[in-house]
Amino acid sequence: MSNENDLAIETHSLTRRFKKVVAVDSLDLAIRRGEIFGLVGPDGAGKTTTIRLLCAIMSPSDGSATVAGFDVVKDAEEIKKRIGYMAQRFNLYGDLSVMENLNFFADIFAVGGEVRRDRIAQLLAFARLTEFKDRRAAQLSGGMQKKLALACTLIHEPEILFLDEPTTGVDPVSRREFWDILSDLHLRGVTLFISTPYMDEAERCSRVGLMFEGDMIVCDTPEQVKDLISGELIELRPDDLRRARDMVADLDGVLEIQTYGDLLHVFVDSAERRMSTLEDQLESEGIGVSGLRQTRPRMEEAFISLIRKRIAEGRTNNPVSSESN
Amino acid sequence: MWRRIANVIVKDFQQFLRDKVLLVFVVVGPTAQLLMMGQATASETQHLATAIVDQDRTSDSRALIVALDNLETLDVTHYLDSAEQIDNLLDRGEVSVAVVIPSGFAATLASPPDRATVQVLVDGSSLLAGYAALGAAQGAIASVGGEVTLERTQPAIMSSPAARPLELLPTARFNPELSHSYYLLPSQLSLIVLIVTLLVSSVGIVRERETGTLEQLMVTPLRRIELIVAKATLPTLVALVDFLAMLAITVWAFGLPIRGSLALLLFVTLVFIVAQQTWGLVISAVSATQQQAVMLIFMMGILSVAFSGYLVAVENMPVVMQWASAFFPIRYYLSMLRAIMLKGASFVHIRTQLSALVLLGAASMVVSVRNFQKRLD
Repeated sequence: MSNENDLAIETHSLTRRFKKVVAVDSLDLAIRRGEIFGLVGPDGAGKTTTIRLLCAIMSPSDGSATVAGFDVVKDAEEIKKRIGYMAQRFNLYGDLSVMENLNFFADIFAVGGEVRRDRIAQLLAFARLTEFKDRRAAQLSGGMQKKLALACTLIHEPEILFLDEPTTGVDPVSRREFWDILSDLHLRGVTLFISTPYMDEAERCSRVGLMFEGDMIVCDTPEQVKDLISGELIELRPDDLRRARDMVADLDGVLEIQTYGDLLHVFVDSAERRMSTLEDQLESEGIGVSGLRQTRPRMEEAFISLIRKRIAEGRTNNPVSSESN
Repeated sequence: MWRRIANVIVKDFQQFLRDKVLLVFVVVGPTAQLLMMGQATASETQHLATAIVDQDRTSDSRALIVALDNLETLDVTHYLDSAEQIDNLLDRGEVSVAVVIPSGFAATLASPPDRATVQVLVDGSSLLAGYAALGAAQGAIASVGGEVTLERTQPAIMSSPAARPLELLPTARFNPELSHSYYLLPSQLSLIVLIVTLLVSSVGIVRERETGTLEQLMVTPLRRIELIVAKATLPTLVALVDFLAMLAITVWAFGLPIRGSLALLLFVTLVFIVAQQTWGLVISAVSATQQQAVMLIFMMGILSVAFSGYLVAVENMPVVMQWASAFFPIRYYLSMLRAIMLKGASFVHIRTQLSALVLLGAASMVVSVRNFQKRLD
């Protein structure tokens, strides 16, 4: 029982099928209270569906899930009292003011009196929206709208907060502010379940799950995920990216190549041994090289590598990003 | 429960009052439409140019001409010597009506067993004007001649004044002036209520879906039934207020009577609005965007015009269409509206229609409420 109580979210073979696709395929998850769980994956991986299933606004086709100890099918309403959910799209009343939006959600959640006044003041300060409280939500900037949406989902102090790509389309400064707020919530013990397409955000999570075509490919701490990548990473900036890529692919000890803008990321068995040959080979072909260095693989490289591996294993029928670069 | 419903209603009102476009649509649109329609139909059937062929030339025949000229519907513009000239004038559209008073008119009037016959020719290509002229002429002829038989011939297009004279005296009850506004304005009124109800109700839901707030509401303790009740309140009130305003216009500006009970009229309207809302729910359920919803409402409006008995009496439709019309609340509503306003029908007279409307409303409500889930799938 105590073990069960430690889990904020637990799923067993959670599956959701639509007409033609399996959006979420036999998902097994166990998320402890107080975690920041990051769900990453390309578009169409099933992230939003997973969150909707967990928020009990979509019914699973198969399997089961409990959120805050309640079953998503049988006790949907109990779950809704305990969670906050911020959908991907702008989800406030644009023609109502900041204050009216907050008041409306406070009304619906029956947060009244002193508590409401204090909490709204606190949330406004928290989201730095106090001076905009009479402005119509539609007239706020994208970042402010997201913060207001977050404030509205926090009005009833949920135990678990689901955020579906909360920072998509938000400028970097607002994004940082937003994450400061999330860190604050984390410190207060709120469980955070966040889907994001941004790998730097994934790095901030206590655990991340990589979803691809409805499957959870990997689910671990960011460090562990990065360790999954085989080999060491050499980064370089060649003059002729395309030729360099084709050439490097044939070299000994090269495990995988990813392009990253102008940069070439080369995974090799040993950076120490391969770095100089790599440079020599390219120069001899007349390709100039700058910025050659060994670097730590980031989440991004790890995920691309993992997804490619999955595609290479042929366990997919939808080659989403086999040659994404 | 009621508190949460009230919260949503208050919020909906705030939004509604700030939605200028919707406000204009709901307030200005119907008012302008009704005023224009009322004006147009009134003027179309007023001061119709009339030609007179007086072959009798007696004081009685002159009295009849004066009576005809005094009608608001008719203006005597031509005095002709022979009936042959009529066709020409009608063909050229210079007159819409021609009245032939045969010689011996006064004499037959004076000897009761005989029946005086007056021939009225109307331009049948303008149906409304034709009916109005016929109706008006009958009144005048009846008042002058007492027992006068109106000889109604085929419209002028057939142009054979000698065609078999029909010995009939049509009398329009409930609408003695055969005023087209009497017929048209209640229909328009019912359509306005229909469109306003559908628009406000489905836009209210679809907009929340479009902006994602519906999804947000799904993760609140707000129950499904609370959401439906709350979402139905604003459209009901708006449609009812609109109805009252439009009713006031038809009564005060165009002189339509409310011969039956106003309370009954309001009750029937309320039932209609609620029944119609279930269609609003259906439209909201299948529309992803407000644009789609508006298109469906437009389609619904057209179908409703067809099935309401506005243009064609339901009884005259093909059987299949009659069945289909059974699913459109306006069919029952419009006939009740006309009955109460124009005939002074009481509850007893309309109970069949009312039961049908209630039944239809209840059935479709069950279906649409069950389909309106607090889930996305």
